[in-house]
Amino acid sequence: MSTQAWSWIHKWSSLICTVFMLLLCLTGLPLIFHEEIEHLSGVVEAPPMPAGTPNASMDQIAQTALERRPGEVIRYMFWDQDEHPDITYVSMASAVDAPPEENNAVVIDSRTAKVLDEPATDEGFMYVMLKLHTDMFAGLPGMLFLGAMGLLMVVAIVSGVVLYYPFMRRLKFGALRTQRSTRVKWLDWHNLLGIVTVVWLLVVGITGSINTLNRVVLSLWQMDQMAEMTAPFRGLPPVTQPAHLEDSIRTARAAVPDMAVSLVAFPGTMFSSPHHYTFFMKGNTPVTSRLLKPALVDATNGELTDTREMPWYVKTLFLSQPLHFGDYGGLPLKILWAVLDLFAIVVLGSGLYLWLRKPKAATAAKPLAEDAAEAANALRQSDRQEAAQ
Amino acid sequence: MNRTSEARSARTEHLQSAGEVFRAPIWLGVASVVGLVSALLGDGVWDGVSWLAIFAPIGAVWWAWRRRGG
Repeated sequence: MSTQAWSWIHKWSSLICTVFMLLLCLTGLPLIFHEEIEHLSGVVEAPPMPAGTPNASMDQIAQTALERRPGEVIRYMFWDQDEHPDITYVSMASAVDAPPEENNAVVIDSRTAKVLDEPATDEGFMYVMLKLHTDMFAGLPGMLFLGAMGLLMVVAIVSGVVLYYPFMRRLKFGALRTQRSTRVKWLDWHNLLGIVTVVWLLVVGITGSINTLNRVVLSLWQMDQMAEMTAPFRGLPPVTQPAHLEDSIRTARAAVPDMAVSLVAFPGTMFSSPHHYTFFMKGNTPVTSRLLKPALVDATNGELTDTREMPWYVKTLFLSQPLHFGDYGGLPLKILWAVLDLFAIVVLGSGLYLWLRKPKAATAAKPLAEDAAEAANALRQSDRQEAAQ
Repeated sequence: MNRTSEARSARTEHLQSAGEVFRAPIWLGVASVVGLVSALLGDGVWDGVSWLAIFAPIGAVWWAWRRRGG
């Protein structure tokens, strides 16, 4: 393909996605540090108690939640063993099949089964950032749209790499010509920051697009592995009064002894079957803590039905999460993530500037190709000048 | 330093091949991949390798900014 064709691809793929990518980079910046920000803004902590204080029964904890919000059902319970080892987070809703966004949180002390907090989950700065970043308040269509914009950015990156070559043939790597026109200055910044962030931005872009498919992936898993595991239960009436939670969690722990329970999905939710608790077990390495393994326990008697490795497409989704969030290498990695995110913002902004302030002589259709030609001409001219000197 | 000599410092003596144009970007790309993968493989020293490797593209920008001109 000619440089002109690549210019056209780079121009249009970038122009279409730039505004959305700017939104994603800006809202993503605070989201990188969401744990730190939540800590600073004072999330509830469990009161200190003597080490080794035993936990209350899970059935008692569930009872506490149900009494706190009468008429509602528990959909999920989850734990954060590293940050808040003594807290059980309960997510409730008006009905088990209420919209997935409904999330009435009850935070319970795992040792005393007392309610610590009922934080609002749909307000505040971080909530707005998260919604703008994931679906722009437009639900599943908004999420899939942003996923498509992410793929368009991949096209922009690939075409940008191709164009880097004609632009840089007479320039050393890292050239930043600051004493020429403003346009040349921003062109150099665009090329430098663009080329050094290629791999990072490709990974964050592609994994972000994969993350937008989470509901699709979940449905696939439901139809595939979940349907297989729960085949003997097909046709039975759904479990509406799940019981034996403590027995069930013990069953799950015994079935997957080397992993810890990170989340339990109650019967009838998106992550479970109508008859089971699904316990999602996590390991203790950066990879195995992301590759959750489900254990299905019969919610009528607390007996194990099945536990299996996730299929490849769910594993892909699970591994895409840390690679998108940058939350798997401590605070230093988050800071590097933020710097690269700022670089990406400059690449997007300078790209927009270069398009808006295209050379006066250039026709609107192909400023990039003419940029390259112009650059080559200018270089040839100064070569001749130097030769003359 | 006059303008011409500064300009010369940003430019190469000859027309570069693709191998020359992409040499530094490829090494920075390799460093990025190492950095992205390493912290996934383990904690402790793996994290340290990851920080150093992912710093490479940022360090390259800092280096370029220090010798800007022309």
